[in-house]
Amino acid sequence: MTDNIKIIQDICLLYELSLAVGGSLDAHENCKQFLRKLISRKSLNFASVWLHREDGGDGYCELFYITPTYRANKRFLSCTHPVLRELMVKPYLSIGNEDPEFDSIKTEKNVDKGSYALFRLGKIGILTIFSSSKMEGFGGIELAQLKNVVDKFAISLEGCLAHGQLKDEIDNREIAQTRLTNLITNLQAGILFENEKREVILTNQNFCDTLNIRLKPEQLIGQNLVGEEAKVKDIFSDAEGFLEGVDRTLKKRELVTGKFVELANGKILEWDFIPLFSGSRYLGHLWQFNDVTARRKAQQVIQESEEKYRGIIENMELGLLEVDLEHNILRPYKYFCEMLGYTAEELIGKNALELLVVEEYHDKMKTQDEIRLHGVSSVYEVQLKKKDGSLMWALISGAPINDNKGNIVGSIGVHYDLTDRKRLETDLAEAKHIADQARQTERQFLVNMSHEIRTPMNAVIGMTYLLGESDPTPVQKDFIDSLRFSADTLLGIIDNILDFSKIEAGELQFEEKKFNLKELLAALQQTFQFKVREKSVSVNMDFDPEIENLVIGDPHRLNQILTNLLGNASKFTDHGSIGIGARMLAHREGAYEIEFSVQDTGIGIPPRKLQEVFKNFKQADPQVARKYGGTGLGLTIVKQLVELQGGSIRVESKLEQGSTFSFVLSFKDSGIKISSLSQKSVLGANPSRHYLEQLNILVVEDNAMNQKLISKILESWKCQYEIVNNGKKAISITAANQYDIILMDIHMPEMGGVEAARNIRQDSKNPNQQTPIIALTAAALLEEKKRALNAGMDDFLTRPFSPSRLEECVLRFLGVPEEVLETTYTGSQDLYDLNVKVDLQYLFEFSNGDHYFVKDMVDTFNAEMPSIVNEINAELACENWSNVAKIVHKLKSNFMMFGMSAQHAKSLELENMLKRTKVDKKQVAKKIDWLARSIQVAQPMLEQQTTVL
Amino acid sequence: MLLENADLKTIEKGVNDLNVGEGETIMVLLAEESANNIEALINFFNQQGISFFGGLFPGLVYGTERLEQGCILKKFKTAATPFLVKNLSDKTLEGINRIILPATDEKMTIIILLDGLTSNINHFLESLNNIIGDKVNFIGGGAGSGSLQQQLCLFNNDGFFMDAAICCVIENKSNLGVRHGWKKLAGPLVATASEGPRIIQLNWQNAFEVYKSYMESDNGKTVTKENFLEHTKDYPFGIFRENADEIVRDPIGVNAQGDVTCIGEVPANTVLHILKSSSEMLIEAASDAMKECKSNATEPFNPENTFVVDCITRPSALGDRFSEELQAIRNQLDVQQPEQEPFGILSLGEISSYGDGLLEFFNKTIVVGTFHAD
Repeated sequence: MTDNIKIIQDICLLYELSLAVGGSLDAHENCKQFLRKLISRKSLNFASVWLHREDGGDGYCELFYITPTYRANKRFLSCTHPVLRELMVKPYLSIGNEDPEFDSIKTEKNVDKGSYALFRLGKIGILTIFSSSKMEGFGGIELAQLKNVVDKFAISLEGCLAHGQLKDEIDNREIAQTRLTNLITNLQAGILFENEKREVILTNQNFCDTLNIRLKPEQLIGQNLVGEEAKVKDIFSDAEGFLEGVDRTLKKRELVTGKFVELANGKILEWDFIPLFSGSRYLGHLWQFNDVTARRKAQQVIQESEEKYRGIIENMELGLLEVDLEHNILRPYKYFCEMLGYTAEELIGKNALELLVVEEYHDKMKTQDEIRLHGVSSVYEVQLKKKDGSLMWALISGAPINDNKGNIVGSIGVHYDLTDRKRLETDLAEAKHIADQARQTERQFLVNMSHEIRTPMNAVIGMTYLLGESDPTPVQKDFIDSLRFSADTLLGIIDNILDFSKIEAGELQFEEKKFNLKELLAALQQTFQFKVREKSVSVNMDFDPEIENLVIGDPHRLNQILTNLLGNASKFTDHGSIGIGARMLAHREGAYEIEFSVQDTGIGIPPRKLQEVFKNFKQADPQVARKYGGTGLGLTIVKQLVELQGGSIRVESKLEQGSTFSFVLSFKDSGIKISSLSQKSVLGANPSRHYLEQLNILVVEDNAMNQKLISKILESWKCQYEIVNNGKKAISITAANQYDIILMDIHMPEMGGVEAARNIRQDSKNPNQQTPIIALTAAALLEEKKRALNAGMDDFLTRPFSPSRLEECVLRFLGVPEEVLETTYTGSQDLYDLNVKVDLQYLFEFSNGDHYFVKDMVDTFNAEMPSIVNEINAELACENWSNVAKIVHKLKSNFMMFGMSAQHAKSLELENMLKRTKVDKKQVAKKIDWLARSIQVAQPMLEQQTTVL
Repeated sequence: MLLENADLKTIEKGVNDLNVGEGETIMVLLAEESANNIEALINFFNQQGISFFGGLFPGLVYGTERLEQGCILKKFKTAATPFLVKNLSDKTLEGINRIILPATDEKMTIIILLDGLTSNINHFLESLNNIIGDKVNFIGGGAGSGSLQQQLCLFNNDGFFMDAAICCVIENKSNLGVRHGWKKLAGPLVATASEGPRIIQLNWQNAFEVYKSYMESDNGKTVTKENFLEHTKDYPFGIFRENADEIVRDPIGVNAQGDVTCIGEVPANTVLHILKSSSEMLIEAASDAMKECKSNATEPFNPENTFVVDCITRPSALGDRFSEELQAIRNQLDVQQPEQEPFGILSLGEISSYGDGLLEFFNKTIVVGTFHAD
């Protein structure tokens, strides 16, 4: 290429580049157009513009524009960099990749080899270009050519930046102006901004509205308000006074706030005057007007309201007192002063605690102080000292007082004179105390009475029992039966009265023990069948087989309920039947919900009396009471017992047709199958006997009859025992001898059982300190029981008790295994499973209706059976199976004769079992036990049937 | 895959034979004359659930052949669904701000097909370049009709478009070679007035008059507006770049006022030269482009595909010898499989990263890109 052509090309290129400068007033767009052209035409990789920034020191350069933009990396270059320093004195520099400064000047991505050229852009910054194809730097001529274009670019860019800055300033000013105008326009206050000459610079619609000026704010701008005062004279109620004030304010040029002026139309305005200075130059001033008419009126209302309430407070019979945190009186209200007999002056500044509060309440007041410091209000009672020295009870409602920052600075108390009420309370408390004492006396009477009656009753029942065991003649037996019946009835009445008292006193407790519901109902059926033997009434039982398991609850109380209902049914039914039933309603969450019913075909209850039968001492008909007897407490107790266990009872009845009582109770499910419990022991082989035989027992009992009774029982246990007749003797004898168990009466002369027990327990030298002590008492109240247990007694046996109850209780304290107890006391009650029925029809037919023959057969059977049972048990123990089989065979024919079909079938089964080569002793024993118990049940039934004959 | 018969059924079969899998896209290069029913083609791909993109071109190249009809299907593993930028001529280029680009690295290549007859192409390429950077190679060309009338020319699963660009990021490393083979005949001239692709003045005089005078003085023939294209194919403009090949601008029309329109923009005050070439120089340029590819390769040179973007004016400039240009490329390849045959388009403008990654829009140029497996 010739030099000329080269020069022309260079000139053309520079021409093209220079025309790319200044294409836009926007600095970025200017850079973009120029740099793009530059890199395209000069075959560069990238080009960038950096602007100088001040930082208080040497400053730095910040990347302003780069193309292509993806090359951007570092954005800042320090002006202390040697290359930039050199550029301050030279217009341009070339840095090749061999140059030591190459790496430190590298600010873009993906730069490896090539050369930078840097140009000074006047005073505003630098321009860099980079070519990867130039390894040894840009040529001097090339840079000199470019410098001219770059200088133009620098000037153009400076212009752009200045233009941009100016534009920004104008924009900002416009924005600020607009904001100010908007602010003023939208302010709720009326604003008037005037210059020194009082020409309006700015105002708003609120100003016009507030001062009733019928011009638009824009129309006021530029107007001079000097000399316009006349126009506003009608606006103000005291225009002259206001205008004088304006003149003074304008002359003073000082800030004025919170002044008020009233307009002719009644409006009240609050006005402020704000002078505006720039340095010492006065620019003008700003008037601000706020319509405060409503606020002023509201304040007036509040003030009136305050006056009103102050009047109310002053006239109320409530004494108000304000104190600081140290109880110094700040403000005593009128009625407070009157209450205590002081004047306000006498109280202000005094310490309320010291002057007014009775000393024993000072601690209470301090507690209140602490609560108050947490901002909490409270109500409390204290005694205050009046000026005349008398005391006054005050109910105080105290609340904290806060200052305007929310700090607690004291408290206010509203005092109400409680003196009269306190007096009344004291009187009432005294009356209550007297009443309580009377109740206590009444209860004690009940305890005593129950004791006094039960003690001889115990003897009567016990002796009757023993008499029955003493082989009486048939005539004597009849007498004994009558005696037993009367004693039972009397005890029943006493029990009812006692239960009623317990229920009334809320002292009745329910046991939680496993029991066989089916068996309980069966026993009741048997008992009541026996009771109604002289009437043509059958007692039937209907037990729901869905109730498969033993239940947990209080069998005694259930028995009591059903006995009561069955007692009534048997009392009022002369013909037909009595039914006792248990039906499962639900079985969920481990509990049975059971409906019990007792129905009869008796005399029934008149409809109008149905609701009264459960009331205390009520019987459906007074004539009925006379005829049938009773206390009228039975059903009341039944209802209470049902309800206390969470159930409900109802009655349906038709006159002359009968009644049905039904109630629903819930019992926990024990999970133990009824069927699995049957026949656990062999009759006569009581496994607990050997425990009893080894005992040494102390009996502490003063009543001679009771002594005899308990001696008889203990003798049957074949154990050692000693009897003493009061607590003192018990203490001395226990100090000398070790006993396995102590049976202690509660009420005894000289020293009662509770005191004796406490003494034994507290004496560490007494060898019986840990010996179980069982209280024996007729007193059945909970309170009595509590006293006994608190004194250290271990259990409580209420008289009259059966021998087996005593036996069970004693064994439990001796640590006899539960399964032994269950075997003894659960198995023996399993009556229902025996399914005993007797039928003498066969014998009658056999003897052609010979009653004497039949009775003779029954008597023989009853007489032989105990020895036969003993015999079979003895053979069973020796596993002498052929002899066992012989006895079973004999029994089998007896069962057939007396119509005992279930027992007959069981004997047959047993015979078959005994024929096997390997006999299962356990199974055989179970079956024999079952038969033996059946015989026990059958005996009175047979006897009954022959008596009827 | 070359399909000489580009009816829909043949294309469907071809696509099925390619067995397109997850994350793969089909590029469909369609000869203008074979573009019968693009809507049906789009429906087919959408029904099959296959991602695809492509364009209509005045012609295709395959091996050493120039094809006026037919279709080329190429399957690529792609980093993302091909993205579409509409309204290229809108200078705000809002469309480009809405695209979500996949992360790219040097193991990828971006294929760009755009409407070669729209305006604002340089701005689009610069914006794209700024967004994506220079880690990845770009190759592509302008689609459209050989009649030089702007029409619908680009398609993908979303439809059939004009004034648009479709970009596809393929998971292949590439090497590029860019050459044109034109030399300066006259100049420098300054395009003292211009608007987009339209040169209004050269050296402050009527563009056509100035241009015509140079052509007439070289070939001794009278150049009129009527026979304008017969001559201009031999005398393109070159935008001057110091120390680099000129960027060729191909004059494709003249209006009554004497404004000369090119493919691609010629900004005002651009320094231009009038260029001239010979068949040998053009063929040698193709050979050099391929050599550049090879020399750029850092690993053993065994491309999976060789994509040729050849300006539509080059076949007319080369006439019967055009196949020699293609042969010059093929000669440097070890073609073992039909898939390795060089394939490509006769384009309305060529696109390639240039030098250190700057994206340029060329005319009368041959761009060769070899795609390599990872």
